[in-house]
Amino acid sequence: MARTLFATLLVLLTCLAAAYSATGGFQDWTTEAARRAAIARRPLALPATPLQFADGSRARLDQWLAPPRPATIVGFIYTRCNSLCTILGDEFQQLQTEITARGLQGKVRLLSISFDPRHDTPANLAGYAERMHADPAVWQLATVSDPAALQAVLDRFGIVVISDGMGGYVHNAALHVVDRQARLAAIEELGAGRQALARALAPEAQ
Amino acid sequence: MNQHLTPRWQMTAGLLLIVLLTLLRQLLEARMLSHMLLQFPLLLLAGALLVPALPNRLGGRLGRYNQIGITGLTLAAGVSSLWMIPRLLDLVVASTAVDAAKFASLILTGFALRLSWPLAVRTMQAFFLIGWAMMSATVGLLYQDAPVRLCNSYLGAEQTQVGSGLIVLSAALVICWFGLLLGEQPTTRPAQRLH
Repeated sequence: MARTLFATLLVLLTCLAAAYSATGGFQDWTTEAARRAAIARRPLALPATPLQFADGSRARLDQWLAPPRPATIVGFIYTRCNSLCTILGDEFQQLQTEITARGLQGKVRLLSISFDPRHDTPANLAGYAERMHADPAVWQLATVSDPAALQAVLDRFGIVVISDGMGGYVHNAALHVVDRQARLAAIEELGAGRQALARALAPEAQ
Repeated sequence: MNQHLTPRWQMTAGLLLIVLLTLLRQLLEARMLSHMLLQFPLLLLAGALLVPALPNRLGGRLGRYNQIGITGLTLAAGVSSLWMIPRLLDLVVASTAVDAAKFASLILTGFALRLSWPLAVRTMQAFFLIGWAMMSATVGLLYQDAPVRLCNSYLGAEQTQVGSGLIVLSAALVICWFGLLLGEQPTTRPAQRLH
């Protein structure tokens, strides 16, 4: 009986330990929660992703974000999207309005990165920017044409893009706050634009 | 199973099933429903089919660590709960190593279940089965009603399907078990007529 009791306890503890480590101490039951908690604990340096902007100009992500550039709120989109990215688009529009109204142009910027380079050429991005009334001084849009670089930047941010079965995509959308040291410093959920802006303007991000 | 298939056939079927499931890994894991409600049960079945491969002597020694089947049933409850955690499901899809751990643990669980279930007395069977069903149905309700996607690798609609599937499965297993109980020859004497 003692052996059975010991074996049962061992099995139970092993399973509990596995669950504990998989959920960050019974805290993060989803990948999205774990991603946000990990970034909150430790800001993440961002890769040298080659970006191509809506106006056709090119830059490396890490350099484009590096000092003396302002803090940046990054969102991932594809312009054909009519669900989550529309919400993200509205959120960015509101953020742009607020940034302009409060005269924060030198302190925080917005960047939308498309993960659909086949469709989102610079020209298409420019069309989207126009529809969204994006002010280039505040809100830039970019695409990543190299598939390996695109996958690398999505992996670094923790963005998972899957097919929606109807020719479109489904992805985890959020507001990614990048501090002035070009590090991903906070992730806020959609609808929390105000918090994201506050995080971008916080002394530790500036 | 024992009555219909010789041990050799069972082991062959179990091994073939494991090979097949390994080959169909990506196909079955592309959808949440086929991942959780088809691949998982088939892995358990594969493990159960491998039980005749256990040598008698080792089986006897193992039995000392599994009196009344409690260790095996605890393993089954623990392992099946683990692979319902959304984050682990994402990890399985993203990492071959985690998926290998899932394969191994579910095959082991199928093996342990078949060894342990007949050892367990009725009350223990009821305790584990109903406990498991209540937990799975609760997870099912959470999956069904979650306002956000819980797995980055799966669509929200699939999550709802799996939620309903878990609820139906939990209810079906409990009902089947009671059905089996009712279908058995009465072992106790018939109730005395009241005067």
